[in-house]
Amino acid sequence: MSALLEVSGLSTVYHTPEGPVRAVDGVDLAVGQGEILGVVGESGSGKTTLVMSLMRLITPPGQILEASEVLLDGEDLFRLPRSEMVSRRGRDLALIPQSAMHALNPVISVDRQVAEAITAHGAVDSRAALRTARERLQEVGIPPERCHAYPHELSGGMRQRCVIAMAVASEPKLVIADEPVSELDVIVQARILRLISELKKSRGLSMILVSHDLPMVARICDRIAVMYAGRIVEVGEARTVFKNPQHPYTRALVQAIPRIHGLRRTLRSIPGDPPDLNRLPPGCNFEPRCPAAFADCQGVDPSLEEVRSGRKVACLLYHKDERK
Amino acid sequence: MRGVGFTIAPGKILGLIGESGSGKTTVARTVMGLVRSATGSVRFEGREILGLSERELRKVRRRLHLVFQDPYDSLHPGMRVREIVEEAMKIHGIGERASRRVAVSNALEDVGLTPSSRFTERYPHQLSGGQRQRVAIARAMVLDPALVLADEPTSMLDLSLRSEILEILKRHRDTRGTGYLFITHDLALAGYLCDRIAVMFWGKLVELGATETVITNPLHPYTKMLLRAVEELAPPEPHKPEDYQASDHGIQMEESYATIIPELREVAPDHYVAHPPNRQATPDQAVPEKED
Repeated sequence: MSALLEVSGLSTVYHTPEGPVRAVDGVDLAVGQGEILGVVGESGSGKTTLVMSLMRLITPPGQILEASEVLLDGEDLFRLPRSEMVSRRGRDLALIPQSAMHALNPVISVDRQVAEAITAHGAVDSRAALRTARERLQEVGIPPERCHAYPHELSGGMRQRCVIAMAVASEPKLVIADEPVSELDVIVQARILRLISELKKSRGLSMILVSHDLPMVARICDRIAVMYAGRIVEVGEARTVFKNPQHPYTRALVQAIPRIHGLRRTLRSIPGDPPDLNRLPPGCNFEPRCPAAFADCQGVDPSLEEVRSGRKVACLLYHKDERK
Repeated sequence: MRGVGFTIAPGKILGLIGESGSGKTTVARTVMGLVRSATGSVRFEGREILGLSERELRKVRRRLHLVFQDPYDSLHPGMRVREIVEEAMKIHGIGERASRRVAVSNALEDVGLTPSSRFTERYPHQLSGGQRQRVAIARAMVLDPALVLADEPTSMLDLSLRSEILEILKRHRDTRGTGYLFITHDLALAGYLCDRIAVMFWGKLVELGATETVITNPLHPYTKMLLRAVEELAPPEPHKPEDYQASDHGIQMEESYATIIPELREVAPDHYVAHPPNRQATPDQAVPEKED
């Protein structure tokens, strides 16, 4: 599997009155061709900043640090001239934002909006673009007679389908989806996720799916990266990460999920407060809440190391050399 | 909302499940007496409370509280935590200054805001989402209510904080016999927390019964659909090693069904279902096997 996207040392800082805050702190990631990578994190873990950084949409007081590198098909997006980057967005790198209602123009019919996404990136005449747009909409399950509807005439699930159609319309190399189903009802969620996995099969879609919903991500993604306080703390094959989490934070998250069958009678919670990025501990960021912490954790900031084939964990429990 | 009926026994948790727009919140608002146009009957502690005057209702609300979904919207931004929790006691003329202070700090410690002195003088914006929701619960619990209507109280909280809030609710049920109407769209969560489950669809109840029964033996097509969606979104089970499968729900419901949902019918002891039209279940289909 060749890596389509390679992210290394990505750090994004917000300059605040209280000093710089590292919302994304040295993130390394890779997405293979035709792969869905899930990025899981709770609020404040830096997942949306990660998405915006990958799209190069960070504006002051935010700043992507110089050493960050994002290679898409071998080309460093952060070294492209700004104007080049603008033309890559949508064409090579498409975003499915969280709120489908806000992502659509309320006064343009959805087929025309999708057509606009097609003409913006290719020399197609508008009639051909509109035809392609309708095909794309039908591909995502919009019936032909609804293609010229306005966004307000469609349900939330239908709107999200339109946004997906728009994102894949120009056949981007990579789609980044930020909480694509979190605003939808559970039945519609299941349908949209089914659509995404169908598109993955039929078009070889490569995707980064960002969400707080660990079980959903475990279900639909090939690999998962778990974020905590701006760092990736665990990454690996989706099912095995979920079934056999290694990092104490991932383990705690899995134990906090209620299961519908085999009714679980106790849910574990994670003690303490979510991390305050202004006041991170000197050692491991999770140490103050970690049930498995030991003395060294307060002083050593663990790096993300491979603990077995395909699985990386940032935790001293697994770093034999750093443990004294 | 049409013809909704259910009961909640003291110290029991009824989960009201439904998707957005199904009328869950309207049910809670009606029970609180906030929907003036409601007809029917709401009996609380043996007394009819629907249609009571504002003054009469105020007395009832001492025993009946609401916890809202959004802890950012439901706390007055200009009041300190102490004032927020104390306010209800003042309204009901309970205790005097000193005893109220003690009650406030007990209520805060009870929801895990310890030591309470660290929180009493803070304003809501100085608290995290999880801490705010605890303050909202402390405010509801300080009067020791018989029934708490909790409208999606954890849906805006991170997973790592959610279970702690649920434990607080459970503890109040176990130690003080507080009953709850727990409104949620999350069937797995309801399965974990609730004693009984009521499923709402288009403003009507379509299934009602003990949690275990509804989850293991759902009879209404809509309940089945919800369960299948939850299963589809659920993490892979160890005994199901196949790929993420695009399984169809396989259940069709005509849109017109929404307008003619029949009344609930008891099909087994404490298991009520509104049977879909044209699909009148024959007894051997619908009535579950008796468990002995």
